[in-house]
Amino acid sequence: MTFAKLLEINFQGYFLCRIATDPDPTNEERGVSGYTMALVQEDPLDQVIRTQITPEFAARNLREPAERMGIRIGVDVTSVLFDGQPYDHGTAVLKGAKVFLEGRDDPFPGPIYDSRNNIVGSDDNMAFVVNPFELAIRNEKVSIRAVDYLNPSDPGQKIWQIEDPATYARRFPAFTPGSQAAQEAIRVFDWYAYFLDRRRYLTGRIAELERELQEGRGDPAELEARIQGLKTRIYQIEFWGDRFTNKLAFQLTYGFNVNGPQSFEGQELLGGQVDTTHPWPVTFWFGAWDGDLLTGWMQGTLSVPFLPG
Amino acid sequence: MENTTREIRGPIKTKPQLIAHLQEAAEIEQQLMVQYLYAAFSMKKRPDERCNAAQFEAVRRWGSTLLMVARQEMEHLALVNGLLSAIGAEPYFARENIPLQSPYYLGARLGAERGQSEEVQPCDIPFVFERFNLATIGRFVCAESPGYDTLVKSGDPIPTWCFSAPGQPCPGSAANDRGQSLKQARTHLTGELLEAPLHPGSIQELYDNIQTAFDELPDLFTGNPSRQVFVPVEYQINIFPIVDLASATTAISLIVEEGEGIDAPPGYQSHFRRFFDVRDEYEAMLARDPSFDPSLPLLLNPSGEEITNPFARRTFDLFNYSYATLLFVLSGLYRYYVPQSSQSYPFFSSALQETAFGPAMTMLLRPIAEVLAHTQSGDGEHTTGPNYHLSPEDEALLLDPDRLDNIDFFLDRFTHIISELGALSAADLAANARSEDDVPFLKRQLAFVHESATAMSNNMRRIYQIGQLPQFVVT
Repeated sequence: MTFAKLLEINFQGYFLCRIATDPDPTNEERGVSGYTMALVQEDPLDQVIRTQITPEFAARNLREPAERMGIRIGVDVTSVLFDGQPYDHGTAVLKGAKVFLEGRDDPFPGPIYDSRNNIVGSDDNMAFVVNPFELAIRNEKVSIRAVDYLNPSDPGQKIWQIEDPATYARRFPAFTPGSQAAQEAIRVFDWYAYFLDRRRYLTGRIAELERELQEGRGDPAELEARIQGLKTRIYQIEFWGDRFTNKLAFQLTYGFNVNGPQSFEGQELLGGQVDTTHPWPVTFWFGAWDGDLLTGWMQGTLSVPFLPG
Repeated sequence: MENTTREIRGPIKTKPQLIAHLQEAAEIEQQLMVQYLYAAFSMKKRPDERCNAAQFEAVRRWGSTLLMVARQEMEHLALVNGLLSAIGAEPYFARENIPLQSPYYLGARLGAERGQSEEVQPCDIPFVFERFNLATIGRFVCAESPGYDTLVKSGDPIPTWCFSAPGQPCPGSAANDRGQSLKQARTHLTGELLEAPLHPGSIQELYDNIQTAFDELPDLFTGNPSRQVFVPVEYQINIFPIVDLASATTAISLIVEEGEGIDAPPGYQSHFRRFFDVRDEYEAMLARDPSFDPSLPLLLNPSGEEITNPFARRTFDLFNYSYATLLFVLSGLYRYYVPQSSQSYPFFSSALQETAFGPAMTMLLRPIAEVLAHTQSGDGEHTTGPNYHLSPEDEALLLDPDRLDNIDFFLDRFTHIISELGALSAADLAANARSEDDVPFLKRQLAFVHESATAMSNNMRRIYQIGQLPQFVVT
């Protein structure tokens, strides 16, 4: 018996990435010349693509008004199909499971969009490799893991050591600058109004904090720092203009068959058998990038050869 | 801002004279750029006891502005080289070393020679490497300022520190305070062009002369149009092909509009206006907190002799070697540029182009400069910064770009850079860092730039062999 038919595990949600952007060097921790930056009260920029965050991390790094906009960082499983049809048994087991991108790309403490300002990828063409690619899906019942190597003949090789980028070209995304799917995902279709609203909100917050300062409420140094941080956010949005707005409709679509280890613990709960010997196809996209909040949308499917019964 | 001081002096009558003027412009654009970069790289990267969290946010914004203006000076340098290429001249990336005094920024003396010593005179603006402080940003405002009459007519704020008036002398510069007598900059102008006095304190007239020459001289566009380097519009820089009078005029207009705001729409954020606003905000913050210091204690006009810490000296020399390498890459690119669609093996032009801009500027030079800024110079007080020094041998090569035709020359230079970065990464960083807190930064920075330089060198060789790498192919 062969495993021709696929169990499709669909996931989606907001991610957060505290990324430095060209023309800042990729390892810039605060952000100066790029359009992204870490505010002084926040953690340094670390490039890491985070599909899940803790409340403590959110308290330090998820900027206002993200929560008021309904942005909750978390990429989760939304549905499961088998051979193109809803598979209720699988959905019952996997729906709500959390999707993680794991591993690290030293010196960065997690997976990143690797480009190094047009060296190993291209910032100009949005040719970013997600490096490393170690996809994990977990809940209390199951644990799924799929790993892809940049260079399967030398899995430990770093991207900057690979002399021929054709080796990992299969990991580059297709780039859609005006994606309908990205706009629909976050329900924003007027990019200019979106950032006009943001500037209005930030300006209002500055006025509120200045009132608190004048009335002697709160720690003056902390209030001053927050006011200046909000001014920096407005400065960046106005300074970069279109570089902010057009990224709201960006979509980077990835698709490849994973060439590394694959595992599926708890497969017996799905009512069938999973094939871990043949490469699993994975497709996903990142987009709807808000360079002020440092958030975006991720959506994708991990396809697992599956034999029910 | 409307131009009200378009006095044309020393009209350009021949093509060689036009080339000499463009070389003057190229040299000044690069000299301004490296001064702005020096100040930008001196700015603090985290709050400290003399720069609190709120102040640091302003420092970050000022750094962003400085680096943007420096990028646009690079753009101006590239456009001037496009103008040179358009008229069949060689690229010009040579430059006289700083510190020096440019004749274009000798305000009072030349103003007096010109018989204009009435009430208000522009001040001398020395070209020096100085960390970011109030005098430095004030000097940058003056360097980008339109003439006094233009300012008055436009209603823009007048930077009073850029002009002397009865009872109001020019402010001293740090270089002058130290008693340095600045070398007078060389000029490419010869013969009758030298007899007409230069308008002080304005690059505007230099470009006006160049524009008039393009308008009036016949048969100028003898360059190969396919040799025009093109960089897509991004990061506030626009490098486009210059092939005829219309595109030459666009380039010249862009340069003076971005710099001084000449003929720009109302409210336009020229370099002058941006620097003015930074200085304004800085001055107000200093008034509230006189102890505020936004920058690291970099040496004034650093030289190799002053840097007694061997690690700092080796890093300093590596920076200059890397900077000269970048200029060689740019010269080779402009000399041998071929559009990608017209290339076949060997892909020399593509190999240089994919190295020159983002990679070398942001992932090699800036990180090394930032390492210098956090490294003890050896005098117990200062850190250091790059002085962008070009040796006589470097300059001889830049003035003869025909010799920059061999990929091995560039790869050999990268081999040396990678070797030096490897050695610096292995050094005792704790003994050389400005403070213990800077050690992790230095360690991370040197390791990362070593990796990036290795990958850049691989790319250069690989592109030379096979053409574009997959990441650079637009699908």
